[in-house]
Amino acid sequence: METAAGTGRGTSAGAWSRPAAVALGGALGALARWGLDVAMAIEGWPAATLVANLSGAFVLGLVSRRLGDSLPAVGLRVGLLGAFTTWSSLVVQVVDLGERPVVAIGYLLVSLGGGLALAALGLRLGAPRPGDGPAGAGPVR
Amino acid sequence: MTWAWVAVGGAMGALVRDGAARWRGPVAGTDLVNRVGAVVLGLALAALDAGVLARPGHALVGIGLAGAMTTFSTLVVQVVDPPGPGRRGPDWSRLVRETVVGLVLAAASLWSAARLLA
Repeated sequence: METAAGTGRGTSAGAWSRPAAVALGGALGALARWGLDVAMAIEGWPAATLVANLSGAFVLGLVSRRLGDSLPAVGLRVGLLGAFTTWSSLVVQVVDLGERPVVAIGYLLVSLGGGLALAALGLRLGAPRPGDGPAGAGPVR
Repeated sequence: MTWAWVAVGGAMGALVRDGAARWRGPVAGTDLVNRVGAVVLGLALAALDAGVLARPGHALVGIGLAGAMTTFSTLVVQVVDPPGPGRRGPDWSRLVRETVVGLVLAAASLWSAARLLA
């Protein structure tokens, strides 16, 4: 369900503030993912994508119920973390590893299982406690 | 200059993803961009392998745009904690469906583009 705060309507933010925050976060997230890929180049094993996806899933779980819809929060959640992690690379890499089916299936299962476990852990650790005040985050996207 | 192409593509991809989520809703929007992005990356990689797309083009379209348009973190967090009214358990069927669809689309785009560009 979209909230007024989630759309940026009814806030002091200008019409271009949200797209700017998302774009800036997206650029930084993509650069961080690419940098990780360059730094962790391992022949035949997509280690960088695995690290980016697992760490990003944990951090998004951690902050998703904590952060509201302020521009920095949108830039971090929607822009940076969304762009740092990638679904397209995961599925294409699994297909690319098809000649080594055990590795391909192992990579897929570790990604999905690890991502779900770390997202659940992040959500648990990041759940607002009594007295924390309103956690105004909208739907995770 | 590769970093600049990655950054521009990343900004565009994040904007497309956010626009899709606002247009179709958080779940359908995420699934839509993840499917489209898997096709785009498959086409970009096949074009790169065939020499049709140069490395800067792949940095822009493949690493930046397709990479940032799609998101793993949002998908798994939404599977564990589905958005929407009411509390319910993890949405396992969505995870299985999107994994199968994503793999089929990636394979189909890689295979068809490689044949067309050979």
